[in-house]
Amino acid sequence: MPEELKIVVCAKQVPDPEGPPSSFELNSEEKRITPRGIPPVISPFDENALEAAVQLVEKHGGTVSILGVGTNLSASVYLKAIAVGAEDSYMVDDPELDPAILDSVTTAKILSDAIKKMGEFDLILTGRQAADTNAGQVPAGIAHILGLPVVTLAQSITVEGDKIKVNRELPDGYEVVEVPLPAVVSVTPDIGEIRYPKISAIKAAKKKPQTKWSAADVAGEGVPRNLLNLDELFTPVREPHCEFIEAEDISEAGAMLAQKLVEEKIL
Amino acid sequence: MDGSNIISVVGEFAEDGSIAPVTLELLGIGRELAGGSGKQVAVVIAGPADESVTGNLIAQGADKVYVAESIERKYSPEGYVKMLDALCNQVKPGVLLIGHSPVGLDLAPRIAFDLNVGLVTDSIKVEWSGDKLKCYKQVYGGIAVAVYSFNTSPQIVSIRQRVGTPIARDDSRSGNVEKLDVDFDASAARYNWLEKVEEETTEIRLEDAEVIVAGGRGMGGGEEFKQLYELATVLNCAVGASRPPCDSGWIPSSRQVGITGKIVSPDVYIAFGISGATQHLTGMQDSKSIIAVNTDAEANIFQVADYGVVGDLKEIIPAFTNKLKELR
Ligand SMILES: Cc1cc2nc3c(=O)[nH]c(=O)nc-3n(C[C@H](O)[C@H](O)[C@H](O)COP(=O)(O)OP(=O)(O)OC[C@H]3O[C@@H](n4cnc5c(N)ncnc54)[C@H](O)[C@@H]3O)c2cc1C
Ligand SMILES: Nc1ncnc2c1ncn2[C@@H]1O[C@H](COP(=O)(O)O)[C@@H](O)[C@H]1O
Repeated sequence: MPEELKIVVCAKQVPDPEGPPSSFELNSEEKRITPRGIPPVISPFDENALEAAVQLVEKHGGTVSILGVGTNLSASVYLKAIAVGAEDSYMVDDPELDPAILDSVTTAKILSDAIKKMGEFDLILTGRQAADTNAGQVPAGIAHILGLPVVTLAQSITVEGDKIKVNRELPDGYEVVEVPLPAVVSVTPDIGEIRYPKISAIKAAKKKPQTKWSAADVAGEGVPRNLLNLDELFTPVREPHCEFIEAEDISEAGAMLAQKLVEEKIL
Repeated sequence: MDGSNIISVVGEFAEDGSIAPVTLELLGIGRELAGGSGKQVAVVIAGPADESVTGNLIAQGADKVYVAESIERKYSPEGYVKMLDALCNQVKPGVLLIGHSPVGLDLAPRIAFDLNVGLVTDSIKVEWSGDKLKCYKQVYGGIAVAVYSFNTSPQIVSIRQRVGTPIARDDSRSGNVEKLDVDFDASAARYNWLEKVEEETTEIRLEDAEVIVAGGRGMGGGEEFKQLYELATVLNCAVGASRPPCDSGWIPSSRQVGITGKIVSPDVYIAFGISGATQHLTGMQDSKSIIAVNTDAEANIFQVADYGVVGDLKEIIPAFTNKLKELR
């Protein structure tokens, strides 16, 4: 077991995915989505990754560092993340790293370059997929570039000596896999919901280092090729057609619904 | 043979050794993509295969079966990546189709990064645009659909389960079986699979259910889910949920429906106290009939519902259950 676990959590800033669909303005000409009137947040599964990291260092000792890559990263969003229980944060913030044009390969490359610059880590945690890309590609990419093993869809992680055991989500249960450290692990919400930072922790977080880098600051060797083209971006159309069952009394409506569904041979 | 004319499916098997449904679906998609163009559909499988397996794959649409005998059939990331490396180097298929299954979602990014080629994951539709593939994918949880094409070969795409339709089994189809030489030393693997722990349940699996009753955050708590289970007993159906009840531990996460849960398309889906976030709709919008109960008449779920009741589920569920008991 490493003396002290050093964990980096890859935390992506995204427009709040819980915002109403109307707050995601789609421009099909420019093939981009612009959030309107919703705040940036850490992508939900990355919060789970942060929670997992904090639980592990509570148990084994060590430190958690947060890493985000993007454009216009919000210091306060990452400050809140630090307050949950991290030591510091690193933001690779550059107009060139606009999430609307950044593909999985480039993202994985920049995250990996940044991780190399940050130091040595035992564990790199990510979300199972980002709320905007819904891709689930970056963890394998980081592992490939850094030459590390990767386990996806972790429901729980236990450190045993210089290895970890991971319960990996399956549709009807889980499987247990073991890999040596250092390793990359992507997590699911089962790992635990993020805790609320205490007010005192938020104050303390302000004294912790938040490092900002440009793309050029971290860029290592080799620029990834453009592997995919985004040809189109559109909003799927839905045609509402709901028949509402109404009644004076609400439980009457429940009974009428049952009647209707049986009559229509739906149930 | 020019490999660029080969559309290769990555074969998966169920635990009982039968061909996984997603593989049959992908063979169906492969056949559609091949059309009358003279392209060939291949499938690559790990482990020694007897004639019943290869015969089945051919009857289900494969023109070629590549068998990597030296790779253990049970999924190991390192073994399967080596197998696909060998396929891509020796056969050079133009297209590689992978299921967005628990195996495929792990495997697809690994092989794409290994080959340094582009990948679209969890695609909901693929079609030709000239001689290039176009892959449709939901982004922002389903608020938008992005269409991608590739600058690299093979064009690798993982396809959502249930998107493809298997072809009708045709035992008169013919095809070749070829061995694929793969150099892999399993003893050097870093990824060590230890065991599978199955969830103990007697409940109907969401994937198999004809009827699903589902609860959301509006249920209010685990107690209320008991009412849903009672309704499920009356209907002899499965119970599902949106993400919040799973995150709060009101119900196991294996019951989650949605983009990161199960994608279901039962005959009937009844949603109680679910707002209809796109991430949830993605998982159930292809259900034949959708019924929604919600206190908020403006809730997004009504955009996809066929029947709706605006009101408190705490009153509606018991009345609905009792009436069904009476009628059925
Ligand atoms: C990357 C990502 C992946 C995700 N994956 C999934 C996924 O796979 N599945 C999923 O479901 N979600 C997923 N989500 C979460 C999703 O964005 C929504 O947060 C979630 O679906 C909301 O669940 P809900 O409708 O139960 O809760 P809410 O949105 O809070 O809605 C609760 C509803 O209950 C109604 N209600 C309240 N009280 C009552 C009552 N007494 N009677 C009747 N109605 C009542 C309210 O009017 C409201 O409409 C994901 C999110 C992200 C970012
Ligand atoms: N720009 C980013 N900054 C930090 N972490 C990221 C970024 N993009 C992706 N990740 C991490 O990789 C995971 C998977 O992303 P994706 O492959 O895009 O679905 C996310 O949940 C994050 O943990």
